[in-house]
Amino acid sequence: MRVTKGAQIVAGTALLALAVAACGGGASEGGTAASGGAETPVRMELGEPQELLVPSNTTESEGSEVLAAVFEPLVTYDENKNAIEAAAESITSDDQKVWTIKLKSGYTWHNGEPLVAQNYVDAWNYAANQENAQSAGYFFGRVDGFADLNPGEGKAVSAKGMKGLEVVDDTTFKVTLAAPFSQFKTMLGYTAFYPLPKAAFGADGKVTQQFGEQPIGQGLFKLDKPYKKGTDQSIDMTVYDKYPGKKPSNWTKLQFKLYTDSDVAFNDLMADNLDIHDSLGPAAIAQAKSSLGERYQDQPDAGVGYIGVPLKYNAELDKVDVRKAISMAIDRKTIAETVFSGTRSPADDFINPAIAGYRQGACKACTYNPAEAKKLYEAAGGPKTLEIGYNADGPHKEWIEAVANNLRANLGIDAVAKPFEKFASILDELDAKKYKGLFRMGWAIDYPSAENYLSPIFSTGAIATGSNYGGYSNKKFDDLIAQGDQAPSVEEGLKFYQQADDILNEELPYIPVYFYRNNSGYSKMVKNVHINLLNQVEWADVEKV
Amino acid sequence: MGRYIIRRLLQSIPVLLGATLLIFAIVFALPGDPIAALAGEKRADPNIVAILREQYHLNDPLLLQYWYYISGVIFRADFGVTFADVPVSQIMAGKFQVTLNLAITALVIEALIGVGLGLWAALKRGKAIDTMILASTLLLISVPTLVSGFVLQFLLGVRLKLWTGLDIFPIAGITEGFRSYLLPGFVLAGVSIAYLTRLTRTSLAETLRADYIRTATAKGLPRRRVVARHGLRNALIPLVTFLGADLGNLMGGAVITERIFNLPGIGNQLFMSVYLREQPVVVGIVTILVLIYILANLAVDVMYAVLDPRIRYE
Repeated sequence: MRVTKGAQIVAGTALLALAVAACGGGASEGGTAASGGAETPVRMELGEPQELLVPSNTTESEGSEVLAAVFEPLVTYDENKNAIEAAAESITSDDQKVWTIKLKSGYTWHNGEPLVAQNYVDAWNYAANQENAQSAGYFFGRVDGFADLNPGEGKAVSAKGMKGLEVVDDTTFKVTLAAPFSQFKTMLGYTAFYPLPKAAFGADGKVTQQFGEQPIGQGLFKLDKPYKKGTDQSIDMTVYDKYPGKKPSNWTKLQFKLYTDSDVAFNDLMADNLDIHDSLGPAAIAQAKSSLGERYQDQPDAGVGYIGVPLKYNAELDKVDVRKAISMAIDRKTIAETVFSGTRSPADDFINPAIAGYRQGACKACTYNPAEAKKLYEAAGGPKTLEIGYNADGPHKEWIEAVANNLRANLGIDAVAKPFEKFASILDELDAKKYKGLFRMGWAIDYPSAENYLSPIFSTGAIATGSNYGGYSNKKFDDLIAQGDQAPSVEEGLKFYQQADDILNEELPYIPVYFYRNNSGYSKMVKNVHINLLNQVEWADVEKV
Repeated sequence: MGRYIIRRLLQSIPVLLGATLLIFAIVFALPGDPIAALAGEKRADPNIVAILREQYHLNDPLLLQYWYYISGVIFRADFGVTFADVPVSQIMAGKFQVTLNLAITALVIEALIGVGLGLWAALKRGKAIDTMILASTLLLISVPTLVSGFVLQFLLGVRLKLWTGLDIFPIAGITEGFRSYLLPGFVLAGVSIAYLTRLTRTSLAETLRADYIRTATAKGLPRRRVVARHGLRNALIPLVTFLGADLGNLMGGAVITERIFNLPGIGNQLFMSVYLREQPVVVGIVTILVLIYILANLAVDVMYAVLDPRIRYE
C-alpha cells in the first residue's frame, strides 16, 4: 500500500508534535495549575532579571524586585520617605563619618545559620573589589579604603578589604567613610548593601553560580528551587518559617512570572492569570483605569526625565536665559498627559516628589509661557537651529519630537529630533565634538535622598566619575553639597541640598521635563497591595481575598 | 541514497562555517560597547568594563574572537557563556524546545487545515464554497501576525474566559503545557495556511486534469480512489516542498508570535540577544537554525524519492 505512506508521514508528524509538545509542557511546568489542593501562589509580574541573582551585581529593577523578597535590608522606608531600621537595630554616628550599625537579633539565613556582622563586611568587600567586576561596586565609593580595592585598570588588588569596615562583635560593625555623609543611612536600603552568607562563596572566594541561581537570603521568602535563567518562566518562593518580622496573614507562596512585554502581562492580569502588575505601559492605562477601578494605582516614582544641555561643548547654550527660554517653551502638561497617557507628571523641581525635599513649583522657568520664552530667547540671542538627540533603543522618540515641535512653534527656530543608536553614542559624539546639540537624559535614583538628584549629575566631581554629562560646574553648588554631606542629621543636610537645588532651578544646567509615575494594578484575588519607594511590593501587607 | 545523504551533509559543513563567521562578523560590527550597555544609561565604571572586556575577549581582533568561539564549539562542544555567565547551551536547550513545540504545532495545524481546505476547494472548483475558501485565504494573507496575534489573544484568551469561565487558551507563557501552544501555533500558521490551501487547490486541480486521471476514471475506479491515490499523491510533491521549507521559516519567524504570547523561545531570545549584542547566543541560535534549514531541505529531497519513484538520487 504505497498510497498510505504519505498519510503515514503526516500522521507520524502529528503524533510526534503531540508527544514533543506534551514533553515540553511537562518539563517546564511552572506550577500555576496547582495540583492536589496545594496553595495557589500570589502571582507577580516580572521582566527577566539581567544577571544571576547576586545582590552586588544587581543594579536593575527586575533582579532587585526578586532579591528584595529574599533579603531583608538594613533599612526600609516609611510613608514619610524616611529610612527606618529593618534588619538593623540602630544606625548611629556622631560625626557623620564613622557609623555604627547594630543588628537586630533573631535573623537567620535560609540555611539555618545566624546572621552576623561579618556577613555584611564580607559582602561589601566582595562588591567593592574591582577584580570581582560587580556592577554595584560603585555604591561603596564613599567607604574609606574603596580606592585600595580599585587601583585601576590592569592593576592587581593587594588589599584584602576596605579599611573602613570593622567588625566589633557578632551583631555590631563600624563603617568609616572617606568623608562625612549625612545621608549614609538612607543608602542602606538598597540591593547593593544586602549581606551574603558564608555559603555564597566558593573555594576561590567568588560568589558561586549555584548561589546566583538560588540565593540564600535572610528575608521573608525562600526560593523553592534554583532559577535557571533563560529557561524558567517563573521564580517560585515560600515564606521562610523562621523569619522574625511580619509575615503575610493568609498566604505563603509567591510566584514571580516572567514576561517580555508588559502589555501581554496586562492581558494576563485581565484574564485572572496574574495577580499584581507593577509596570503598566501607556497603552494599558486607559483600559486599566476603567476595568480595574480601585485596583488601579498611580503613584509618584522617583525617576526624572530631562533635556540635557551640553554646556561645556556648546557656548551658545551656556547662557542661562537661553536655557530658561527653552524651558518655558516646553508644554510639559501636554507631554505628560497626551504623549505619555498620564504615566508621567510635569516636572517643576530638580528633586522628585517621591522623595523628601521636593518643593512644588520650585522651578519657576518650568512653567509653560510661550510668549515670554520667545522674547527671552531672542533677547539672549539663542541659536537659530537646535538638535535634540535621543537614543532610539528606548521609548523616547515621541516626547522628544513633541519638545522639538514646541521649540519650533514657540521660539520660531528650526528644532529637530535626532535619533542615536544608544544613549552612550550621544555621549561619545559629544566627546568627539561631532555633536553639540541638546540630548535626552533620564535619572533613576540609587538611594532615596535629595542629594542623589544633585551631586551625581551636577557636581564638578561627577564630570569625571559620575553622570555629569553636560559638564556643569558651580563652586557654590559644590560647597552647599559638601555642607549638606557634613550636616549632623538627615534633616539638616536637606536644608543645604535645597539651597543647592535652588541654584539649579535658577541656572537650569539641565531642563527637567517630567517626573515618572508608577502605574500598577492587581487582581480580585488580592488586596492591600502597597508599592514602596523602591517600586517593590510590601509583601507582608498583601492579603488574599 | 545513503551516499547521497552523506554527501549532502558533508556539503553543509562549509555552509555552517561560513554562516557562523558571517553572523559573528555582523554582530561584531554593531555599534556600541555591549559591556558598557550593561550599565544601562549610567556611565559604567571603566575598571569594571576593562576587566569584563578582557574576560570575554572583546579586545581581540575579529578573527581571533571567532577562533576562540568556533574552537570551543568544535573541540569542546562549548557554545560559550552570556554576559550573565549562563552557558549558551543551557539557554538554547530550553528555548529550542519551546520553539520546536510551537513550530510543530503550527505545522500540524497548517497541514491539517491547509490541505483539508485546499482539497475541498479543488473538488468543488468554481462552486460557492470554493470562492468562499479562496476569499478567506485572502483575508488570512492580508492580516499580519501582529494584528491576528493580539486580536485572538484578546478575544479567545481574555474575553472568552471572562464571558464563559472556560479557560481553554492560556495567553502567555508555557506553564499550561500543550494547551499553551494552540493559540500561538494557530497565529503562527495563519499565513502559511492560506498559501498551503491555495497551493493544494491549484496542484490538485491540475493533477485532476491529467491524462492518467482520465484513464483511471475510465477504468471504472471509484472517485475516492482516483482522487486519493492518483490525484492527491501526485499533487503532494509541491506541498511537501512547501511544508519542509516552512518548518525553517516557522522556527526562524516566530519572533513576533513568541513576543505576543510571552513564549520563551529562540525568537524572543534572538531579539534580546541582538539587542544586548550577545555574540555567542546570536551565533549559536543562528547556526542551529541554518542546520535546521539544511536538514529540512534534505528531508524534502529524500521525500521526493519516496513520493515519486521515478526520482532517483545516485
